[in-house]
Amino acid sequence: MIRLARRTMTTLDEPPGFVAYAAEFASVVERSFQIDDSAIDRVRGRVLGAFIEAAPAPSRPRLDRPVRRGLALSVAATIGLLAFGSAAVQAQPGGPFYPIKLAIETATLPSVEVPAGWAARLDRLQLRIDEGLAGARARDPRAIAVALTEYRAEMITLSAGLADATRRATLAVVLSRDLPNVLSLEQPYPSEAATLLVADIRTILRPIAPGRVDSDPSRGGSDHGMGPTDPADDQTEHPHRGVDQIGNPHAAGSPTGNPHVPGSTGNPHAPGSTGDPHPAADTTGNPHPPGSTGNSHAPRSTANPHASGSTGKPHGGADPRAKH
Amino acid sequence: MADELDPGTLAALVADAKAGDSRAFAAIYDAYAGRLFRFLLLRVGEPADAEDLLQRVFVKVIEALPRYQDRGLPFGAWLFRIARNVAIDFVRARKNEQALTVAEGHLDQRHQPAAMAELMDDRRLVRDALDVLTHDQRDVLVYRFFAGLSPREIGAIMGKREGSIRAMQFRALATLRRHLEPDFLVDIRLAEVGS
Repeated sequence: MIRLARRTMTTLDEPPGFVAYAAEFASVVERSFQIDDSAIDRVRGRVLGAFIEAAPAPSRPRLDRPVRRGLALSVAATIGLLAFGSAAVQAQPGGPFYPIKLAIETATLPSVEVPAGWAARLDRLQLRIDEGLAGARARDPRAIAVALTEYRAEMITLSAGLADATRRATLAVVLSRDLPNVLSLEQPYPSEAATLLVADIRTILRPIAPGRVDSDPSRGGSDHGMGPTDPADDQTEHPHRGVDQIGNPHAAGSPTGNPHVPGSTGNPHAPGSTGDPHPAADTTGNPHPPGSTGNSHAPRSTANPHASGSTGKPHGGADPRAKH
Repeated sequence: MADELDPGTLAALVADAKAGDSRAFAAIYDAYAGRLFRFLLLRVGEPADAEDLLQRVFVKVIEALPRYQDRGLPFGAWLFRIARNVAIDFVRARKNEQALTVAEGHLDQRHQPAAMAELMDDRRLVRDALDVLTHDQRDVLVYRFFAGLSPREIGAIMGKREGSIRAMQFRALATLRRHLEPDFLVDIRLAEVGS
């Protein structure tokens, strides 16, 4: 209480006599209303017990509600993206996420101009074959067709690099390796995609690895008109075959860039040839005119890029993959 | 009575106690319990009642602390306002209109008879002195000398400015002095203090 009196004195600006009296009064209060320390201690224990029971345990400071909401949304978005990405990566041909899977693959690929990009695309060929074989095991013709379509698109992209001898040789090895698998898929599950792919593989291989095509056991049959008597063999002698005699089936000499271009570009599928499964019925470059009696690939659906009225560019233009 | 806390330390302790820190709450209790006890003892008279009310006050503090915000009302003022309300409720419940009555027959048994007599005299002295004051003057002196609050804290409780509290305190002490020592020549200049 002395401290109380001192505080009272020091905070008041009254005359000295007044201050002394205030201190005296404080002393009287302290003396006559003494604090019961034992009571204070007893209450202390009970009060602290009540506080501990009532008060929340000290915890880490809670984040503001907007921050917590943002974090929750971020976590949910991350989980959603992971689930979406996982579904896309595991997507099979024909599935709803398969185009996304392909887009992700393409987005992560280096340019085909660089060796790494070239090699990665060769690996993608194998992926597509694997997907086609998986589709066969699942008895899913649509999956097979989609996988082979994508294989063909990738192959066309790769065929742009055939000016390089090493790449040419590498592609020949890969296509020769994959051709039997493609044929094995085509026989039980025939599709236009398979037919076109087989034809394009042979078209590419013939100038750069004729021995591999010739040694093809399926060659000589009439399945695809690619036997020794196939007029396509004339391509090797045609001045417009390929861009620069490197065997590129999408040569500039072809007005459409289509290996199946009929007419003066040296199209092996000469019009009127009854033995040609890809007879061109018109001059638009469509090798599969509807109503052609000798065309084993008569239009079966409107999606046929070779149907009547088509520009005849199943993979024409600067980006043949745009068709897919 | 524990040492008084500076405003910064007190604010930190209050914040920690609001977050559930029992040590901070214990520090607050130690700083205010003695003054609250004396304040309550003056209000209710009985030490046992003061002890009971002290516990009630802190239970209410525990309940209200999460909502406490220092918006012009210092923590000490907030605490003693709770104590005042608790004491008023108690006195009303006891149907005792004289809140300042000191229960002279229930003095601390630790004191010897002579000491008890002296204590009773002192309490009677204080009681009588306070009774002559106006209600506001009495409250100012009680908050000032029993609770140890500053004029600013008292002003926050009573809804008056600090200067008014100081003036009321001066007048109350001058009145007290005249009442307790009528023969004493008041040497303070009441004109300066009271007007």
